[in-house]
Amino acid sequence: MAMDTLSQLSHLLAAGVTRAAPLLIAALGAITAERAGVLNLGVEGVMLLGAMTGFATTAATANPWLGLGSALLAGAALGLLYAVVVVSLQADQVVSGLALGFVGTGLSAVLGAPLAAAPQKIVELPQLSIPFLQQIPLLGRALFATSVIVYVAFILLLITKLLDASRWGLHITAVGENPSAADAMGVPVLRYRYACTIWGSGLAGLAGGGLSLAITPMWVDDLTAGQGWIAVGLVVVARWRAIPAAWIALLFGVLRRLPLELQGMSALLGNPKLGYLFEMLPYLGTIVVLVIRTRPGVGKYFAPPSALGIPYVRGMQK
Amino acid sequence: MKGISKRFPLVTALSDVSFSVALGEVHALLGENGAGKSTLMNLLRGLLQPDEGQILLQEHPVTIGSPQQAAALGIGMVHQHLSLVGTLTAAENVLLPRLPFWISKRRLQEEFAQLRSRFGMTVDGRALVAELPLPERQQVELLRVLAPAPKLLILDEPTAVLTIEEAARLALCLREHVGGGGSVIYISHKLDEVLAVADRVTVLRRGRVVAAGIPTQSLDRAELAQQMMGEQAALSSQLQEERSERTGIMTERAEILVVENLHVESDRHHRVLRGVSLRLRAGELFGIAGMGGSGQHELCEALLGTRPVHSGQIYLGGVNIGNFPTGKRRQLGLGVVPEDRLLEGVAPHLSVAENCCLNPQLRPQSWLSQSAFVRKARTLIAQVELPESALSAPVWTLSGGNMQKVILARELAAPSLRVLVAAYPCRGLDIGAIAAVHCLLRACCQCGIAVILLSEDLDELLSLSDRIAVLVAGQLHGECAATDADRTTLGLLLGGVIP
Repeated sequence: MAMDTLSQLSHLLAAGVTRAAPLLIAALGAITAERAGVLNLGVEGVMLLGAMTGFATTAATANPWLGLGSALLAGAALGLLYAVVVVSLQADQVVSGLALGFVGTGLSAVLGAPLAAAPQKIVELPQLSIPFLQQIPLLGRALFATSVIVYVAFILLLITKLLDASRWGLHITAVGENPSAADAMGVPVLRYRYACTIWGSGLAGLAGGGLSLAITPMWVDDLTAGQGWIAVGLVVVARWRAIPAAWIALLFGVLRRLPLELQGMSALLGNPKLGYLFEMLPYLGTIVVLVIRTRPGVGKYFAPPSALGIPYVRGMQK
Repeated sequence: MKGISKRFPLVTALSDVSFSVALGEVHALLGENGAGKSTLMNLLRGLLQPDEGQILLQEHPVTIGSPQQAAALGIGMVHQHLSLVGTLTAAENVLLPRLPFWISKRRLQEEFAQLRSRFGMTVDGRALVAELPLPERQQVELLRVLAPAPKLLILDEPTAVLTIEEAARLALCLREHVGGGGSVIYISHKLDEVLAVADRVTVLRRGRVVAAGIPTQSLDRAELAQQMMGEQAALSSQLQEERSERTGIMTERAEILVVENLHVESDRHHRVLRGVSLRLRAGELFGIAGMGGSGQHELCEALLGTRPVHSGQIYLGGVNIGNFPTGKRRQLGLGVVPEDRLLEGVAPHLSVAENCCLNPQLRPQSWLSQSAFVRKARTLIAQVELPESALSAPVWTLSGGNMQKVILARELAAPSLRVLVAAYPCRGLDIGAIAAVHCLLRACCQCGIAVILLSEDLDELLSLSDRIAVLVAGQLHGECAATDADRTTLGLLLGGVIP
């Protein structure tokens, strides 16, 4: 019996980790962009375009790696468009971000229509098992015998974390906190904002590709089902930090899977729609954080980058 | 800098200004607010380009297109508003432009400690800048600018936030810098400080150089103050007459506004007003001079009721209004021309007519409609000589002067108006509009309305006021009748020299 529970837990964890991977990748992208002061509310749409592009490329070439690469590029292309609008042309980031989301959603639906009409099987991203390590009880299966997308997420987590200890990371923080100070110190503000916006959007595309190539290998309209929005909310709860983002993504990955694992055990917990209810938890968390943020003292612990969402115009005093 | 001119759409900020700094010298740039000091420095920093004239660096003409370029040319600037990143540590801020790709916290701190001891600073390199008190933040800013060893260091009002000890430390640090062959431009309006630190002084007044490169040894404070304030403009004889008549009448009038020992805190909980007292008679114009940021803003807000009073009393017509909400104060006869027209004075997208009727005392009795607004507003704007065609135009399309007229029309039309607080009503206006605003303020006084006029323009205050005082360091100093006012004394007070 104990053995059984353990294997069930291990299974749940493995499924949760796989589910968490795209969420984490999108959140990491959003973290980097927002740290540089650029808010992107279009993550959901960018993910969809990435998912569609990745799926279409893989269907055409039978090479999931090319698919994943094209998902990244599709996201980055939307990111470039977005950067031109909000960094160079200084448009309002909330409105433009929502618009970007609609562009991504619309494009993915239009371009993906033939794929959605004729469902097909594609070559999925491979599973990768590391000998010996995969036999570690409980964690082995989740971390060392899983889809490539999970390893990609780990590598990106490492990169984002390492960024903090590099000149680039410090410059990004400066650009997002006080762009005029950064400018005065000789940091090229606009170049950093462009780079971070494109990177962030590229990761959103990659996350979408991960979904359509590994997690739910198919293409239907609105495949992401709100995960882009969850990533945006997750960033706030994780306080714009990579490691907390990973834990929270894992938590939501597991919560999303939990009802499926519990099916048949109890009527309430086994309700397959319960996952959708759990999905609103990041937003509950976000609202809690937004409320805490207004309190003196603890508030600054949750404070966003000071210049988040504010276009930088040289020579303008606040 | 040679023959520099810079014009903005509304004003000529600098006209034919020439200015030079030698190697190894501290050169002070003095002037009132709006004299053109900041514009001149923004040219050097590459934030603005001159319309005419040349900038020469070590005898080579240069074009400075951006702050990066300025930095590359060896020009470093300490801003009046510190430009630091609050969420980074002191050491990270200082060394940000010169970091290796991978950052080791230990090496960063070592490098910072070295710099710190060279310039005799005390600030902790591991502390987050946002958590440091202001003087220590200024140390960080100074270190940041000094770290790349600039040839030319520009300091903009560096001692505004410093204690006396800190200011002395700064002076030492500057000596260390010029000793190494650097040069310093030191912008300030504090006379004593300038005399203590600088080798030479240049005085700007209204965008022109009025005294160029005078060695500080051969100067005294009174002379400097006079140069800053300019020669006394002769008052027209008619005005003189009118005023002496008024002074006679005035003493018989009742006191309408009495402020006693007012203490008010700023947003950051600093005590910015420390015991302000003033008495205003009906029909009197009381001028308050002083550099912006000495508590003017908070005084206006405290009078209007949008900022809590820490202690002290405000009586309007004998009623203590200290705890009254703004609406009630207005009903009792308070009017205000706010400092920031566009932000606090009008609803920019509403029409002139609607803006006129924003004063609750003027609201039409009928259902609100555009035609009701226009009916009400028509007479109002005629009084301030605005054309009737302006009535339906959105306010933001008006010039600054006309916008100010709309505000004045609205405030003056309140039947209960007894005290008008006018904060910098002529800021940024052209000459014609200034004359119109002055005319309206005078008309106010003639109707028995008391006016408090805050301004940075001493000439304006002296020509309009019955009495005048300087708000400096949160207190009113040197109160006297405007006819007896001595420009030198006022100039010294404006320069922060409190007797």
